[in-house]
Amino acid sequence: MGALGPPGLYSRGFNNGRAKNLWVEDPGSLTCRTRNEEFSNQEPMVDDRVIDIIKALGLEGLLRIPGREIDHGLKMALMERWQPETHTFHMPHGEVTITLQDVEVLLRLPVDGEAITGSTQREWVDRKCKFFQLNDEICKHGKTLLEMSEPCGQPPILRLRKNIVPDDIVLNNILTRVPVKSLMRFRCVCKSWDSSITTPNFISTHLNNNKNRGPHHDNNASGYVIHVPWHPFSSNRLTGIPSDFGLVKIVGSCNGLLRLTGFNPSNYKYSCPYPSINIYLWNPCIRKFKKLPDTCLGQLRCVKLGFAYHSENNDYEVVRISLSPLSEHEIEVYTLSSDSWRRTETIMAFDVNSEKLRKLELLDNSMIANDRCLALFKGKLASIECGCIQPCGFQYSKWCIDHQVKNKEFKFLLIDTENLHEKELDIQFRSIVTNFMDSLVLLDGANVVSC
Amino acid sequence: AIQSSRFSCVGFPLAYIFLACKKKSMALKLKSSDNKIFEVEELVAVQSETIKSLVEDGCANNVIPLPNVDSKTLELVLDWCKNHVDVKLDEEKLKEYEDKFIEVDLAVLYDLLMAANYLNIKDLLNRASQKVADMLKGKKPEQIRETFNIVNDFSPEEEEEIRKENLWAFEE
Repeated sequence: MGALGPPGLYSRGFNNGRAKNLWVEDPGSLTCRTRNEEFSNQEPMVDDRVIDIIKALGLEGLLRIPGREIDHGLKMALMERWQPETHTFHMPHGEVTITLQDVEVLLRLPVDGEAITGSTQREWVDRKCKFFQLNDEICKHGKTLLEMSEPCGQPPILRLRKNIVPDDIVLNNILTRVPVKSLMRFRCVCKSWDSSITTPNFISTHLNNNKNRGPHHDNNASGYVIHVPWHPFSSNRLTGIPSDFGLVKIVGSCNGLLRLTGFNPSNYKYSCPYPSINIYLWNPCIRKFKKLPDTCLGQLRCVKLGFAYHSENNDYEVVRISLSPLSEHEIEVYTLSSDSWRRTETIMAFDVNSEKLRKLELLDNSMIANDRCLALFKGKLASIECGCIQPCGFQYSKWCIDHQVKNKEFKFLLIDTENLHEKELDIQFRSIVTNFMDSLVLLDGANVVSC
Repeated sequence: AIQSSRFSCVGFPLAYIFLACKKKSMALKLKSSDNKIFEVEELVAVQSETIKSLVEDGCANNVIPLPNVDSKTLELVLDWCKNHVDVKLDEEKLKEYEDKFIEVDLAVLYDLLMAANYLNIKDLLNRASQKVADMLKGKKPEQIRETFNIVNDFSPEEEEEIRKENLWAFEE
């Protein structure tokens, strides 16, 4: 070392700094200042209770750094290779430097997670009180940590560290189980929460969690029904709907997967002022609605509407059938993802997953039906008929007309599984009654209006 | 060796049953982060997908180290698993058990959540998540930030816009 002079290749930046001194003058013996000696000869003099806290903070490695003897020759040889500009050692085979991983492996200090920092300006007693949550009594008496009998509770600094739940658990497991109203608030917690909550994936996971909520959860939020009377003189208006909508009628509802039991009306579709039939999708949970574009059929007569969830594509579809006594029936399908109507062929049942229509038989019934509509029930296409069978008032009956449950009759009350709403028995005139579901559907959509 | 030779005279089917039974009651040894050994039946332990995959890969012959779970939490988790082995268990009783099980303080709940995630026990993770979600319900965004140690990265204008859009959600 020294005889060859500064190596040309590595001379950039060589003129400054410590390495220069090695060449131009005799460096003498290198002095290293360390505090290692105090630790090197004996076990650290720290109480077990303190060690527990240090361990919990993840700084255990510091206690175990051995008091190594410093190899001065090696250190000087390394200094010679140090390039202050790049902060690397220039070795014959290339550049090397100390990486974060080296720090983690050699010092056994965690390099990820929250930083553990704090002001060192405060008085020791103050800090002691704050970090270890001592009560004032102990602080005033100036007892040392070691004299302390029991730490009172967990030090706040540990709780801070402990509370850090990984993001994926928070977003995928916890937030997808929070009710909609709270979620809408949480959108302003931070940007990543806002963007996560409004993704289609989050919305469908949230919906599924809501549905799959087992018997553990019998809170009142799930399972109540919405009842909107359809009557021209009714004063019962839907809350949150602008008054310029005119008369509003719910014509169908659907929450999610086809295989669900009962109705899940996270979305309501209703048409308003006749004859200019506008169809809206409405999610009362998040108070947003969306107007569907105009029809692609030439003329609309005697329109029947159906509404379903496309479980394979995670999409919602509206089927509109225009029945005409003179010509062929016409059918068009609207998908929420494409936001447009598409014409399809005519039959009677519609499988939303394959978009294939199956021929189904309508039931014969002896009831004097004065109203009839198509809907989903237990994942099957059903026809709800409303008729007068008793002199005392209107009664609803419901038939599933899919091939598997043909001819089976369901009393309308079956829909209300929670059995909370017996008063619904006195429903008069045509209305849609369904159980209600907390859902975020439509939150991710374009052209959605808040109300 | 004596046993197996005895069964070999009886024939294959009986030996097979014997093996099957033996496999069923096989005990696994789990080591918690504080080096306590837990001996559990395989049927109980394989409710953890993490342990199940170890067993399937044939890596479960020795002690399985679980460096992320301490003994206190592991005991709770194994108790949960034991109560969920028998699927035919009375639903009412199971619900009662689960409700009681999850009534723990926040620190324990956190440990359970992390352990369920690490061990990949779906129903426990779901139940613990639901519990946390119930606790979050109705909280203000400021409280949430504090709870999860989240820094608000919205500008005041951006935050105001979201609040305005969902004003109803902020009503009590």
